[in-house]
Amino acid sequence: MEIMDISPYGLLGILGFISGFIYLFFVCKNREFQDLIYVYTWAGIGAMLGAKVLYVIVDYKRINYFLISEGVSFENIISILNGGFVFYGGLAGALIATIFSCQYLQLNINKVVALITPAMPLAHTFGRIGCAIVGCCYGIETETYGVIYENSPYAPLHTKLFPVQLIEALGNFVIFLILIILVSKKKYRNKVLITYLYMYSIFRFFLEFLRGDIDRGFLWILSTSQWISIIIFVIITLHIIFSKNNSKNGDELNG
Amino acid sequence: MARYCNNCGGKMDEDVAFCPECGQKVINDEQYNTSIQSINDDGQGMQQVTNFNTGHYDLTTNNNSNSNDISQPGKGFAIASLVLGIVSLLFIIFFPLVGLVVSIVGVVCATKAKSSGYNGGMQTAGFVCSLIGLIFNGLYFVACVACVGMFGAAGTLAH
Repeated sequence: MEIMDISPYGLLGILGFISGFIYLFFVCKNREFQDLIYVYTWAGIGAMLGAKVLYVIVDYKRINYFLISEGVSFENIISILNGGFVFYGGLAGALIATIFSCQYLQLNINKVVALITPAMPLAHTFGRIGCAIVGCCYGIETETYGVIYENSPYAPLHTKLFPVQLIEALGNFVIFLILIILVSKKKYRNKVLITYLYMYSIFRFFLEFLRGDIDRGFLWILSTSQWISIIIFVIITLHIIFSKNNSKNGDELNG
Repeated sequence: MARYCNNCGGKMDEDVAFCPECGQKVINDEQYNTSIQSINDDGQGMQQVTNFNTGHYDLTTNNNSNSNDISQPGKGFAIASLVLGIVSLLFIIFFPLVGLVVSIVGVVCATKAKSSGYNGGMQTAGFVCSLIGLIFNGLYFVACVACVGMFGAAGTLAH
């Protein structure tokens, strides 16, 4: 393996992970930071695993076909593991890992989740820039504004494609900035995760219509990510309605 | 040199008698070692409250806390995480997949050392080494996306 084999996608993914550390360094007190780097590392590992698991689930037909036609060997399994990541799986994995590591290290889950959540859209921003550079997750064909890939293993070449990855990166960065404002005000700390999920699920739902890549797992006319967006949206709406009825209890619980 | 509280891990000055963060009585190293010898039983699920003046131990069961020991049980894990972290750094050159697994085990050990209450340079060094190993091994691992090319033409990444 040569140094040239490092893809810009992996590099930007790692940069996103490291930028989360930098964010935590600036937002936390020294002692909090010492605890949070452990939780954050576990959240990162959980995100990788979750994203991979959901990718295998979404794409199982093609993986199955590939394994039958090419034979089940160690190299083939490795190349599948190198395959792709599905964001919502990563989100779920990161949340589960955060909750478990908080319990293990005996930290205040609500506070940790509030502090760590903004790192998610920040890392995602970098990941999407990586997508844009490599040419995966490309957009639909357009005639006005678009990018043309001349040398990409994933995107259709020599056609104008809507730069949906860059739009998503930008949107994620805006979400990150909004979340930072929320984190800096103690009053809103309990709302950080909910705000993030709300904003991102709506954003992703509409953005998915602009995506042109084929292998995203479709049920009816909506993609897997759109179904998950709808589910998250409904759950959070119900949560908001429910918690308004007994808002006093909710505030004390999270104190 | 700053000291850290054995109970809550808070930073405190050398000469204070009680931790400013949690109020735990500060014990010096000699008392510390005798307390480890006396409390040889596994402290899982037990919170040990020690009275050093009278020299007897009052054990109260507390299911929520299993790691705020006053002993130093995580040291073995700290050493393990440091060794694994360094090994995982070496694996970056040879075989990143093994290195990835080794570095994750290193992070596990560092986390275990931390939750056991061990708070020292070795555990931090182990954690940082494992983390760097994780990042660089993972870099190769994720990086292979573009160079595999088996799903390539159809589009491998499904975000």
